Amino acid sequence: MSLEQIHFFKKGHRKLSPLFAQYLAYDYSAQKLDSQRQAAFEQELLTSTELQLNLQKLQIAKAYLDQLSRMQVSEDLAEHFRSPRGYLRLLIQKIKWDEWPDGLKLGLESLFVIVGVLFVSLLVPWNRVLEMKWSKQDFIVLSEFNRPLQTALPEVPTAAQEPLKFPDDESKKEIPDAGAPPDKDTVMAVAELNSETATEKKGFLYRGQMVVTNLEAVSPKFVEKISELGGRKAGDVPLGWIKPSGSYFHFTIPETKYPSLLEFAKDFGGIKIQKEKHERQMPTGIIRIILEIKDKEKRPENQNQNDRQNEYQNDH
Amino acid sequence: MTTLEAKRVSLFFFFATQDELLTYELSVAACDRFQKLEKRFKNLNSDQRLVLATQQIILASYKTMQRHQSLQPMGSHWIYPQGVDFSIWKEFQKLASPAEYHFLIWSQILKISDSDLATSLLLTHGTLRYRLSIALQKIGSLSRLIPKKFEIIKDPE
Repeated sequence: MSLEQIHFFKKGHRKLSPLFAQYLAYDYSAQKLDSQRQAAFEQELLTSTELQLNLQKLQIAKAYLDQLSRMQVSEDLAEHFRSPRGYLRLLIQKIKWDEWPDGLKLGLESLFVIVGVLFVSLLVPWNRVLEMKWSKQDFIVLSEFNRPLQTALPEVPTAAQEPLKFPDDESKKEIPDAGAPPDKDTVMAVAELNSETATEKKGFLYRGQMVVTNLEAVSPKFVEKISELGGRKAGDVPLGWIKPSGSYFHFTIPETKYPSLLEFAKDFGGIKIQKEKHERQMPTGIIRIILEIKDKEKRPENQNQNDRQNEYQNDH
Repeated sequence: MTTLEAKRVSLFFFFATQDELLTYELSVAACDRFQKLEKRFKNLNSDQRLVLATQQIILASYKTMQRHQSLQPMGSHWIYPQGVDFSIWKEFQKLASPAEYHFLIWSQILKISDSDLATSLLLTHGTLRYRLSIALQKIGSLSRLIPKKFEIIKDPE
């Protein structure tokens, strides 16, 4: 069934609304309406001034654009536009590349690629490429940690005042061979030197040493007394840690309890405590003590000095 | 690609850009694109390839194109029709959007059929006619084209 046979209207009359007629103006001017639509549009056109104006605009525009369409371009210019540009395109057109068989074109393209790869591989200096260092650093960083702040060196006297003297010059002369144990004077000299260079050391450490006759019986009493006075262990080892040279006490204690501890220690023998400067600063009213109690009968004197030196170096 | 097709391509850019150098540049690019479309899409006819090539090139050149330059005679390669006021076209381009005057160039100046135009631009016929109608009414409403006392223009039939 064709559209002509479908009756969308009553009694053969197919009236258009004004809005719909506006939409059909272009089709009417292009003569693309069927006969019934055209008749209905012309009937609406007789009554609608706005539709007449729109239709006239369309026809005027078409007439103007028809005039513009007579614009011409010269043959030379058109030929210039369509001609191939570039040597490669010109070559392709001359040899009629498009008309070649596909297999031949594919083979030639593959050959060009292979020749290019060979050319590059022969020209590249592979020895230099392989030896090239991609990074300026010749070490690998496995892990990073913050080092403690180094103490500042004392001010160096100017040349006008006196010749330069490095503090370690004298100590180097006095240090004996590494195999032999250093004597007491050497250890004390190094300790004094370090204490002088460490200008920024703000804290203090009480280092003590005493010799008792019965170490096994005395050591628990010291542990008990220190705990009674409110002392707490400061290092990794417990109070009264027994090592070959004696018992080792590293603890903190209120400063007010320090005289009581000294009186308690004098009951077992003579005690020597030295106050040293140290990097670690303790809270106000708290002091840190390293006390070593040795057995008088077991340990020789020179071995005690070695232990003393080792501990001193470990603490710094 | 024939010489006639190259002429039509250059006419499109002549009216679209109003710039001689730009017309040369874009026409060369569009002719190249036209030849590629010839090889790739052999089912398209000449008009459809022309619409596709010119549309792709003009869309790609929007950033570099300078609109509303004076439409001066551009050398001896362009043959102008007698008694045509090109300033009306220039005025129309200021009023209309690029899509509207592109439609008019393709449809009314290059005489590409609505069917080919709708196929190339992936539009329905109704949408295409509506847009053409709007563009035609815009250029027809320019004051210099409308007579003061209009009469109903009857068809030649």
